Amino acid sequence: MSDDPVDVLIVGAGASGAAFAWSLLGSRMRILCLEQGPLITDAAFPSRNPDYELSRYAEFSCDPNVRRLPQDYPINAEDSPITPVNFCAVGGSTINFLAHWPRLHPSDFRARTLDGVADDWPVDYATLAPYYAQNDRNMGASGLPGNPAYPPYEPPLPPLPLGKLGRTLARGFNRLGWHWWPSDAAILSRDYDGRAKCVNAGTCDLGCATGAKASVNTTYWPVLLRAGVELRPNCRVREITLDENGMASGVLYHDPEGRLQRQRAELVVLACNGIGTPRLMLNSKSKLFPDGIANRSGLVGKNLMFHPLTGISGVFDEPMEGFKGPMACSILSQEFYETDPSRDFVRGYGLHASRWTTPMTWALGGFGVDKPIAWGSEHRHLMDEVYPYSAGLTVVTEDLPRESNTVTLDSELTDSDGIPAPRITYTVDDNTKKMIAHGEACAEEALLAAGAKRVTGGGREVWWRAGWHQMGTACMGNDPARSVVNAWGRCHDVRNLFIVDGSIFVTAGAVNPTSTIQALALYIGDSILKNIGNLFD
Amino acid sequence: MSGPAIWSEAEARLLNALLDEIVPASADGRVPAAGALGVAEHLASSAEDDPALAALFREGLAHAARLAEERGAAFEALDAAKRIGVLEALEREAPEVFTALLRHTYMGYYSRADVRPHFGLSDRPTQPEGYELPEDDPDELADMLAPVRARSRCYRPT
Ligand SMILES: Cc1cc2nc3c(=O)[nH]c(=O)nc-3n(C[C@H](O)[C@H](O)[C@H](O)COP(=O)(O)OP(=O)(O)OC[C@H]3O[C@@H](n4cnc5c(N)ncnc54)[C@H](O)[C@@H]3O)c2cc1C
Ligand code: SF4
Repeated sequence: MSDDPVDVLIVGAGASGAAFAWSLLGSRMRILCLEQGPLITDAAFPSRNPDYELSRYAEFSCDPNVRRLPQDYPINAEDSPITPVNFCAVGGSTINFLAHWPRLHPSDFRARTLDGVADDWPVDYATLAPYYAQNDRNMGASGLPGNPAYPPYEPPLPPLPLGKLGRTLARGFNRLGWHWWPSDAAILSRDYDGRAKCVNAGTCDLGCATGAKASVNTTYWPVLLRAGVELRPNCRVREITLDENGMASGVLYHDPEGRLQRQRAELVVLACNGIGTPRLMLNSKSKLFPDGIANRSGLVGKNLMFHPLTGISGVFDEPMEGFKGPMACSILSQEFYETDPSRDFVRGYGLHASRWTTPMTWALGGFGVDKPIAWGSEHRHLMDEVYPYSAGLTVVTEDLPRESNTVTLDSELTDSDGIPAPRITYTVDDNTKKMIAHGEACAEEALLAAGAKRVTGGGREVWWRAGWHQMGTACMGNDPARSVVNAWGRCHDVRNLFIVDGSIFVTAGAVNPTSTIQALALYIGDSILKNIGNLFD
Repeated sequence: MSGPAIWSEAEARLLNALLDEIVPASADGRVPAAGALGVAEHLASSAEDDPALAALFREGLAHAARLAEERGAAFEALDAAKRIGVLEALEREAPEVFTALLRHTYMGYYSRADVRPHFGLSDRPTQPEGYELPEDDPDELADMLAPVRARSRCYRPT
């Protein structure tokens, strides 16, 4: 493969890398993307197989420690109650993500000013609003305008059907006078841009063979490839290299045969998700940066945030048909999202009405849990008389940044190229625990108000296989001593190295992050173009 | 039913009987128990690809056979209460083995296309046909949301 220098080298072909590449399309820069995973087509998606559910526990698990494919990197999560999950392929974790598409609230960018915790972001909601909108058009987002939980905006497509489950729960929220709204989703409610609308298959984590779900391999990548962006799948970046002036000179990567190659670039852009990016930075040690590239602040790999979550379910008189329709997207209540001084915690959480999943996953404890349900006659009772009649609410909490929650390098574990794997050290903090307790009680109230005969679940335990959202491990800020990148994603210490994934989040909010990750990636691309004359000053 | 090759006939008989207790038939009798449905074949194929799992299963079978003998007969010949007693003891004494047995039994059972319709799901793969889910009538949705819209804005000014 040629080592001709490229203008822009993006590492990672997932949500953020793809959106970022799109933002530079008008620029005539030569763009190359290296992705450790393969290019897969929808023919490979297990939702087309008769025993589709088995794949969730094998090669299509969201947990790389279960998949153990050569392109995956293992993650040591022994010191964490939550294990990170992802997917490694062209499309990244959008291949198996659930496409729930809420935005952050304006207040999420101002946690220090409003609530005296964490830090303010160096950008605000108003700055990102046009990029959210552009990305919604590029991905094909569905939703209903007029949600009083946000400043006005208009998703390009009408909302997805609530389904029986969503309607039932909505009645409960109405009885209590609590906020709810049809979920925004990066899933097509109408045919759009040559893609077919959602067929309500319900197994969005097994890949959407219809193409209705906005995985970036169906949205951004076809456009990027047509526009001449070069994509090299099965190429894993080992290290970012430096020149004699302390600028990034390119990368060392393993080609599809495992051989080490060098690729030079004017700009290096990291888009490896909130675990993969700090891992790569920590693996890029040099005389100038003995603790990892661009890590003079010591914050690379620190402040890891997930959204710790738990679930409560109610048992109703009628079947809820929760297996019909996109798994994660029905309705969302943000009644408890904003800080309320009368509560014993700051910040807040969302109550997500997730649709119910397929029987095997329910019998194995639920999506994100790994605890088989009872056997024997109790098993039959649960499966025949509880499962079909259940509807659940997930309590998705905001995680505050803490330096003790970290991604470091494991001393023994490596990937298939021998590169040190990440190790997670993480605890759920007291503020979050209080939110979970509050959330469980409120979810129970909402389910009973919706007509549930009884409720189950909870017990203050966070879900294990639920590190879906990985944020904060190379945060943004104006002060180089307290942040890794500046307000537009440029590393303070290496001025031609950019980060565009959720690592740069300053706070996590309490919503799924990907619409914000991509809005930020578009914003960073635009900022690069605006600053092109003095990019490295 | 003949046992999958990886187990002896006696082991296969025991395994089928254990599976029938783990997931019994539905009350209406329309969905057979796990052993009767042939879930042992799924366990066998999982174990074939995974020697550690094969060892766990074998250990579980030996342990269950011992527990049955202590109760006076082969597992299949015990009465229902004693069979349940064996499984309860296995769960207590060998939790790792037992959890593996449960997981793989549930996986084998619920991956079957002929089991899914019992729960209202299609026997087809979910894609490409999916499911019918009627769109919400916009007026009805507006009515449902009227109380939410009537609230003042519920995000904080910055
Ligand atoms: C099961 C599941 C459900 C989810 N549901 C939702 C949801 O409903 N809503 C939502 O907003 N978010 C959801 N998410 C999260 C969402 O998928 C991520 O936030 C998003 O994909 C992150 O984008 P990214 O570009 O940072 O990382 P990714 O999309 O993960 O892409 C990173 C890419 O970088 C590659 N890479 C990493 N290291 C290297 C290296 N050294 N060399 C080369 N390539 C490398 C990886 O292989 C990967 O393809 C979910 C995630 C999962 C796993
Ligand atoms: S429910 Fe819709 S979005 Fe999800 S996999 Fe099926 S068709 Fe795709």
